[in-house]
Amino acid sequence: MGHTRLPRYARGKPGVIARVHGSFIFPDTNAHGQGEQPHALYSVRFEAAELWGASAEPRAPVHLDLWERYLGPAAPARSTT
Amino acid sequence: MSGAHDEHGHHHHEPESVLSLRVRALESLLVEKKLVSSEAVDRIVGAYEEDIGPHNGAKVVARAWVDPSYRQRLLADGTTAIEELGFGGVDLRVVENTPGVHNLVVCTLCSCYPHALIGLPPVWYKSFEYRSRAVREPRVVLHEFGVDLPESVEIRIWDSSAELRYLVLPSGPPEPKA
Repeated sequence: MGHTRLPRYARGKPGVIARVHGSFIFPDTNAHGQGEQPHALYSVRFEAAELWGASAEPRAPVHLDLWERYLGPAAPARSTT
Repeated sequence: MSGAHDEHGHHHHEPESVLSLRVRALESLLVEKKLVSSEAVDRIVGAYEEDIGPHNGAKVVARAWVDPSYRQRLLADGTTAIEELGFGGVDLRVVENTPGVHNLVVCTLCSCYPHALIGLPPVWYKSFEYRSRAVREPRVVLHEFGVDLPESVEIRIWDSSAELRYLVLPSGPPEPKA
């Protein structure tokens, strides 16, 4: 895998978009001579338990700045009924 | 160093460290190959000695403490708000400590740091240990720094994984009693 700014600990984990930063140069292509390809960058909030499981510290969410191409659709929300 | 800068050597009475010797060897090679000039190196070193440092960030924080409308602008758009005070060249997000939220900044991928506002990072900030533990066990890490927060306080970690840099606006000093 080439250059990326998607930390491994957050890969495949559910998060919530907290803020839209605007358009930023995409390092994954820029670092490989494939152009700047700027696109949307988001601040995404991950709850600690989603990242670390049951051993996570309470109330210690992590925010990451992630490009749109790092994101995928979230799994359907679990029914609360 | 070569040429006009040879006199620097005479001021050293203790043997130089390996790191310092390595830096001097690299610098003299780069200068000899005309990749950089001694003047350019001196300018950069001078900038870090005199212009770049935490006193810049302190000005931003102090202004936010005394000027509520500046504080609002700073939290809404840090990049533009610091330009008002003459600082720029960085995409900045400012996050505020409140009674319910304590912010913690880390760069787990490398060692991104808002140099333009607070100078060079301390060595621990770049350590693998801090970078891995700050996200995983922030309360333990803060405890080791002498900061103990009740569990009701959210510790909000900002992993600066992109080009944005983060600055924490600490709680201001208490209002003086009238």
